[in-house]
Amino acid sequence: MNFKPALFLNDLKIALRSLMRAKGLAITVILTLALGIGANAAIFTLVRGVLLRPLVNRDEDRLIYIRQRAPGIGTENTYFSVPELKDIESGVKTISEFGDFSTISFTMVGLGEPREVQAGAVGGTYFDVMRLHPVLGRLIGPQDDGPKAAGVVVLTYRFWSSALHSDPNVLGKTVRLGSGVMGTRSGTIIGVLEPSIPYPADTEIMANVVTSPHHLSATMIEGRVHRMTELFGRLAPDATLEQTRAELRTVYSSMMSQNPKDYSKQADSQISATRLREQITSGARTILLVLLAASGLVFVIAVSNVANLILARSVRREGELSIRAALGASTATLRRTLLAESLLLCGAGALLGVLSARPMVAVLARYASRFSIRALDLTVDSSMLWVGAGLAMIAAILLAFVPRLPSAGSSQGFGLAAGSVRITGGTNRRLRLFAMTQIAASFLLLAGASMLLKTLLDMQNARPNLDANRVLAVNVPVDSYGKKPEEINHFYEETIRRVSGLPGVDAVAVGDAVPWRDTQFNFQLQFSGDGHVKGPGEEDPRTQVRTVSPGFFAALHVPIVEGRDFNDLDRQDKEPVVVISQSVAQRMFPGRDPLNRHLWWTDPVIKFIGMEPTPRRIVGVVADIDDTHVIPAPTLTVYDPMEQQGLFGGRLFVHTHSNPYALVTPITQLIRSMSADQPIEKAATLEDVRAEVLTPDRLNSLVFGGFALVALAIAVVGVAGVLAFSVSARTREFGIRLAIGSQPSRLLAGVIREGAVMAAAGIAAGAVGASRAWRVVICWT
Amino acid sequence: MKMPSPLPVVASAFILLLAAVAASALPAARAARVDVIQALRAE
Repeated sequence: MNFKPALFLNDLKIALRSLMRAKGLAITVILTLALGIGANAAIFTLVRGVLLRPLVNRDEDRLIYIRQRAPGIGTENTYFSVPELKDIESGVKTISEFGDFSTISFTMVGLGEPREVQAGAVGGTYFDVMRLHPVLGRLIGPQDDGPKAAGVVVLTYRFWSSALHSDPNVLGKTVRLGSGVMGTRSGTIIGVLEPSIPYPADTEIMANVVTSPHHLSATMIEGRVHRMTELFGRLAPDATLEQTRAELRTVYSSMMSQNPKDYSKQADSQISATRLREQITSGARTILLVLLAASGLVFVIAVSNVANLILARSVRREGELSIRAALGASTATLRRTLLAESLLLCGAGALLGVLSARPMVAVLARYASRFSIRALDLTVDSSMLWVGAGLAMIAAILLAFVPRLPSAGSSQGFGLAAGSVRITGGTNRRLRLFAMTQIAASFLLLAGASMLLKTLLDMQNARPNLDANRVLAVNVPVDSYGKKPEEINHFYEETIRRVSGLPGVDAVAVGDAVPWRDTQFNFQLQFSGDGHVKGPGEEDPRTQVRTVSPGFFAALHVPIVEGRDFNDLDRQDKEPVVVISQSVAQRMFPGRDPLNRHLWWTDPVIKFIGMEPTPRRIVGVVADIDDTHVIPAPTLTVYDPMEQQGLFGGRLFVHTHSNPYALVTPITQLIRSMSADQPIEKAATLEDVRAEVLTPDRLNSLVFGGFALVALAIAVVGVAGVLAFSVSARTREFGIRLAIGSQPSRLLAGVIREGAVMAAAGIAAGAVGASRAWRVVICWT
Repeated sequence: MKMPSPLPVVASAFILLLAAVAASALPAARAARVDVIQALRAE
């Protein structure tokens, strides 16, 4: 192609004048391209910011996360115990530094309102390994390790800036940290962490191990099966990740063979190591890549639609192009003219797209933050411009080569003798091909969005075995400061008594965990029961454990299938009793009445968490409550009475026949009158808690539904445009057919049939594409 | 991962087909209303 800049500049001026005479077409093309390019630029910015942007941790490519999993019992992350950490740290040489982190909850008093905070209990090397810096004060270091060290606390940047309004005077303040029945410690605030991705948990504070009495106990230090800690490491200078993985597997295998009773065969325990950035972004990777694919489809649809418009325009300009060709313009020259026009259109579309991408990035970032917190601190940079420019170039070149150019070699020569619009077979095929491409891509988006919508509707319509609408759940975490265990129970009993007296209250109870929200309390214990015989090689089943007050099942309207609820006679000095879920009854006592039979804990971890293997008499059977999944599944749950097995979590449940939220203030005042430092937080109905859990699925349906509707609109306009153009070119044919006796209804049916056939062909192509894409997804996952 | 339900896929195909047929209605109506004399005279 003859590409002298001066000539091309001239072509651009001519193209601009030509487009000014076809303003409608130009605006349509620019807007369509802006949509396709803008969506892609925004989503690329999101993908780059969440998946590809380096972490703020220095030398982050050497930073790894080490995980222990037990796929045999469905546990993706079992964490590590202190003896396991010591074995790994002493045995693995390809990791030069180790840092540990345990997620725990504290009630924190002394920094504004008393509150329950998520905290990380960290070792002195944690921040060195993570290579993070403070913005205020200092971070926890090796000098803060050991049972005699003073308690110290570091605030996360998010907590410090949002809850404490970046108060610079926070350093040196002392807070009281309560660990429920385990006891209370104090800690001095020594620093504020720089903004960084919270991992492995989104905590408000980090504290040294001495602030958690449980972490200093013998059970934590010596118990190999008491696993609470997560492990990070830095690769040694010459070590590769593959070498480290191999060495970890060897050390782990040796550890298991030396302690066989602590690693059950059924669990199939394994160890793995991943770069921290991959670990952090793994939750968002799939959704972002699917979003990228969806925006790619929108781009294909937009370009196909524009290609049809350009093709139609070139057919109408055939006369002009033919005259120029007859006067000596080469194919290259004519093609350069078309390229100039498409560059102008695509450039304008890209500019508008990039400008509109900024607000799109802000909206999409809020959506993506549900899957990865990295999306919240996204910055729009020049990469968006490059993406826009790149896509514009691709579209411009494609569109320049779409129209067929007149040539002397064709059967009608330059076609100068033809009067009206004349569509050749080749042009017709291209028009239909582009329309079918739009239909195929729209079908993929529509099918995907429909599947997400169906999943969402299934989840919304699934009803749990409790009354979620009229139950208010409030976090009233256990505050043991200055209280004996019996005083803690008395506090909750008195709370229940007083709240029951409020107007509109039907029933009140206390439990460990709010369904669907307190998933951190979802641990399972092995157990056995009267007459239960294990099969060869079978292990004792595992069940969820919940501690509840009398009246819990009545408050949540959970049906009692057999027997009774707990009552005031089920006290510490009486016979241990339990209530079981229906699934436990069916599993342990099939075909037999479970009432008055016994079950007992057999899990080796119970000695570390203050539980006894004493047989407990079954006094009641209740319907299953799946408080982990939105679509309920059969769930093994054993309930202990609060008086016999102390509360771990501290959650108040209030069933009311009036507005649940109207009770929040009186409940808060009532509890504060009993204990001024008691944290009272997160009051919400169980229905709202459930709806909150469904929010990511709802957002997915909204976003992909939006993509699908836009794609559908463009594709429908594309089909209509192709048919309208075809009809206008066939006016003479229709006139002749009508003149010789054809019925208008036959012409109408013929055109509609054309449109339907085009759509059906596009849908078939889309279906083939969808099945191929599904196979790729299966292989990938 | 299990195979997704066919209902959303079938429903999507149906919606698209319906939309394409609806989009074809306007050009089809124009074709049926062509003025015979005008069409032949234009040649």
